[in-house]
Amino acid sequence: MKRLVKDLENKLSISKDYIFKTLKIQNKNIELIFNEVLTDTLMIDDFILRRLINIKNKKDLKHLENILPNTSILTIKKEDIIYYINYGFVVIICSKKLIYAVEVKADLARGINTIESEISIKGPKDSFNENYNTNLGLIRRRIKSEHFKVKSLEIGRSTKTKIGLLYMDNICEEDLLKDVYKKLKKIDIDGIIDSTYLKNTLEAKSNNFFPTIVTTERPDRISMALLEGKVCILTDMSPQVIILPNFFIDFFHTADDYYQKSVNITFIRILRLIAFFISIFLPAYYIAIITHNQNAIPVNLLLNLKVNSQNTPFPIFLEALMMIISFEILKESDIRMSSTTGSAISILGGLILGDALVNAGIMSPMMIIIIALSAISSLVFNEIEIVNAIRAWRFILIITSSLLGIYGIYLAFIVMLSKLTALYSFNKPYLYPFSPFNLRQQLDAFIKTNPKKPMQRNPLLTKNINRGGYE
Amino acid sequence: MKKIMIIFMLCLMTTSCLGYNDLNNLMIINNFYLSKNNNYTLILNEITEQKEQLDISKKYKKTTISCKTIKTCFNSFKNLPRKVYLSHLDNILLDKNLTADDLVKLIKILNNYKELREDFYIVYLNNKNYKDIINNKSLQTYLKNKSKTITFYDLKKSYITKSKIKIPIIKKTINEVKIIDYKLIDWREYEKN
Repeated sequence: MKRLVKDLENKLSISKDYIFKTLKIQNKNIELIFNEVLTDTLMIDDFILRRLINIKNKKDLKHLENILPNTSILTIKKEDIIYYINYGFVVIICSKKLIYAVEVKADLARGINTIESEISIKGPKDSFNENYNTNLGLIRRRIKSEHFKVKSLEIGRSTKTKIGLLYMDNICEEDLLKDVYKKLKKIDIDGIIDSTYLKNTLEAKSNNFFPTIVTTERPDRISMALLEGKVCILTDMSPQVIILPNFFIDFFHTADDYYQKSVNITFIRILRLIAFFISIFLPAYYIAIITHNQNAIPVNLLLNLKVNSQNTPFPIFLEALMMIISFEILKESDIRMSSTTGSAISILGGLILGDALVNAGIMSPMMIIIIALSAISSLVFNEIEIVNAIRAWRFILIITSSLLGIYGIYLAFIVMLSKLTALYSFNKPYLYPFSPFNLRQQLDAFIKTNPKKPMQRNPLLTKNINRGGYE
Repeated sequence: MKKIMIIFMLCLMTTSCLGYNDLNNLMIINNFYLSKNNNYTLILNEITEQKEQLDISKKYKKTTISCKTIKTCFNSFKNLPRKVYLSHLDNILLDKNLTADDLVKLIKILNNYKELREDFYIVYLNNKNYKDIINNKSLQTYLKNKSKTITFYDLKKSYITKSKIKIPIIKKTINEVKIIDYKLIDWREYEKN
């Protein structure tokens, strides 16, 4: 036993947060090892040390589980000692073969906060935090069925991050589950710091800008996805939970859509579609009109554009590029700064800079309107990956339109469309229910019908498609 | 990705779509007047807008070109500081002296302009006083409401089918523009001569 403790001391004692404490109980030495940062020392004092000191019989040391009032007390092997110490356990070494691990984790997580990234007007406001158990609890409180299953595994050589594969065993397809599990098992990396680390493996392997995976902080959205037959991946120390597989149409849906009147949601979804097109096409279309296809618009509008784009020293393409880059810089600095300085940046960038650029004759007011409208439209989507994809395609379209005009826009649009149709997320076509077309699924695509009709799940995700209805 | 790039570059090189016209380098013409004495005279009526603080008002600017043939008149567009843009053409005003032969030349030249729309009107002027009519806003509305007007499309069609066509002759009175007569052009007769 002494050699074992010495070995551990050699390995761990450089870091002073590892505590080695020797107790003499009934003339027998026992060793307590724990990490004071990860454990709750008050709990150790009250529920371990006090009980151990009161032991009157030597034989009781062989049955510590009967003495210590703790639900997670395990008998472990000597190879696992360091793992359990780093997990917030106190390791009690009674002899070489009798080693206990008692859980006394300190509460290092923040509480359940109000959602910040995916704000909704109606519906629940709670969000995930960095604690695996809390996050799982938030989902379990919503889905109380015995069919809700969690398959756990550990990834990361150094971090040993706990990963939970969440699914409904009566809805979710087994092939999908196996596929995801296999991909996760293959990961051999030193650390998983956040759930987004898993994205690289799980994303469809293609040079496509559009994301096939979505992450969310909303427990209600995860519950919806699970009931839909999707698989969710919960990662310890990450408030972002992964949902897969994902379809293009999912980016046009928010959790809020299901808490409001269907007719109004149809309007908002169509608005999002318009915003999507404005965001991608508007700068490219403007450039095409100014440089190539002046005959595409009526003379009065053309003259208006001409007046507003006169006297700028740069070619229109360069002007657009400069505006987009300055907007991206503004956005980036606004995200990174604290909210107090953030508003100052908005005023400086948005109001002063924009006005000064026009007055100085460097930018045309029309270009500022176009880029601002396009950038604002892209922010309708709360998933950052789709905003990035829109930005990338906006760039491509600007380049093609400045070379070929409207013909270039069509050309790039065809490429974009073919890339989208060729994209598969876990063997499911990305553009479903439009390609392949499914009439029934259109009821909850861009339009949303009355939920009183019997609701159906996506037949690509599950064979158990009947969700029941309100009547 | 390589395939896409190859297709894109091929389109760029083979489709001849790289027609870059900056809007600020265009002369947007709404009307032009063609007359014939010893030489041909082409008067282009450019439409521009002027911004004075918040008010935007339309302005017209005339450019006169004199040449020996109609073709050289149109060829001399190259010498102008900005590119003549005929896509938003509203009317072509013709001098009464212009013959069917001149019209054929005009049709052939205008046919080469790829951006040209064919719905603009063709009228003869009663006298040489084009200045009253070329900027007249009521001309366009008047011709639109009249049934017996001739567009460039009609003229081209009649030339191809060798049929007769009546081109209106207009006159400016004190308050309004009016069609006073029609000039008949018989393409079969023209072919025989």
